[in-house]
Amino acid sequence: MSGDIILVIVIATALAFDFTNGFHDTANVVASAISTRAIAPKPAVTMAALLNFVGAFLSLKVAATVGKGFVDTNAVTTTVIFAALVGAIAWNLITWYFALPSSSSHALIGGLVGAVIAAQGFAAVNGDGLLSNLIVPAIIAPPIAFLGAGLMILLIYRIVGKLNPGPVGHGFRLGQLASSGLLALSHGTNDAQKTMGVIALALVAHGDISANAFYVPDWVVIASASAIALGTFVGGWRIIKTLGSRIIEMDVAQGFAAQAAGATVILAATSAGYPLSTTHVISGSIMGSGAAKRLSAVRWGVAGNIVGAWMLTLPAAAAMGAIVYAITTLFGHGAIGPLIISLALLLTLAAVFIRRLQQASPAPIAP
Amino acid sequence: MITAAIDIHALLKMVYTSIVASVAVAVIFSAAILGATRSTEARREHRSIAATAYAAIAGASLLLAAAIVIYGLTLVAHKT
Repeated sequence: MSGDIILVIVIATALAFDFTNGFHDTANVVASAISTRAIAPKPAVTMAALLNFVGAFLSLKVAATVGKGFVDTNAVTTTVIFAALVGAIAWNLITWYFALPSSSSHALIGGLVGAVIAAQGFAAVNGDGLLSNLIVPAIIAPPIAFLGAGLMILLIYRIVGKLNPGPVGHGFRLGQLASSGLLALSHGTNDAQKTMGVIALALVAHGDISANAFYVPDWVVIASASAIALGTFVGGWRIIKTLGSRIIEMDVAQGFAAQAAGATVILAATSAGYPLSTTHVISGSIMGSGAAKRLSAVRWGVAGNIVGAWMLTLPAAAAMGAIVYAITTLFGHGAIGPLIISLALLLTLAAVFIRRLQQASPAPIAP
Repeated sequence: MITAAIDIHALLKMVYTSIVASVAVAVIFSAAILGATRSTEARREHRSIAATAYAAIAGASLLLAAAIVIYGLTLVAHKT
């Protein structure tokens, strides 16, 4: 009974995490297409939500990597996964509050590794799997996206640079429709699978799936796809700042190149089963499309801050996962700990959210 | 020691696939825009053969770009 309650809490928390992933990343997916006026905000967000949903059904390789590639599946309990998710959410909350750029994907995997270390020690962590499937791809993917987008812009300007800018701009606006759709599809396929992997891992821990015959049930795929799509749809209505305008001011060809190169890298990584940070990749491709036109077009200070935050995410989220596990198990190994922590998390979320809204609201006008 | 743990082949495949696909999409889509723009100009100047030829380049390029994207998605869509 206690195990069933924890499993339900874990699945609800994982889907909530998936929702916030879609909510947070909508801007990354559609912002450049909206800013270059390739597409109006409402259809852009609707299209992104639909394609995030469809993309989640494309592949399960990333889910398999998350589910069995980083930690010993036999060492994982539902409480460990609960601590991993809450640790990741806590880190995302801290970075959101202080306006630090972060990666939800790395926070999730960092939280998982930290909680497993706290529960079973370092021996339960697959160091080779982490290095091969997470750390090295995370290091090389943004530079590849940078290079790909840079090459695209150089070739595009070479081929169409002397043509009448009117029809060329119109053509690339149509191209951006396709490239932003492809980016939404790739985002859905890589990011939704991380949640699928975590839920499947919880089902292994609960005894519903054999560790030796790991698979992702269809209902997990459908639930994860729906959560990320719904998050994308809801998140799109409150786009305030965009990655595009923070790093560079881009033209329509740059928007096309950044989105197409980003989608290409994410899809290639998904094919290999790498759980990439889509935010990192899109940031890399945006910088590449800006640097190829003019090095000074990129706000390198902003880019440097982003890189610094990236490096901090894995260890910090791991520490959060370990701390949450330690606190949860203070109440024993039953459902009481997860229930109390869930309640505390919900109250904290509400308090932080209200405080942030109060800070953001304008001062009242004096009579 | 570290390189033994890393699947270099899979990483290299990700790198060259991404770069080759990006370059291919840039060249082919730019060729489509070039064809469409030149076709319009040729039509305006009543050069019907040139207009048709450029329109054919634009159409073929668009089809090729779509084929590359669909092929890429079928490669990704391998369930484990």
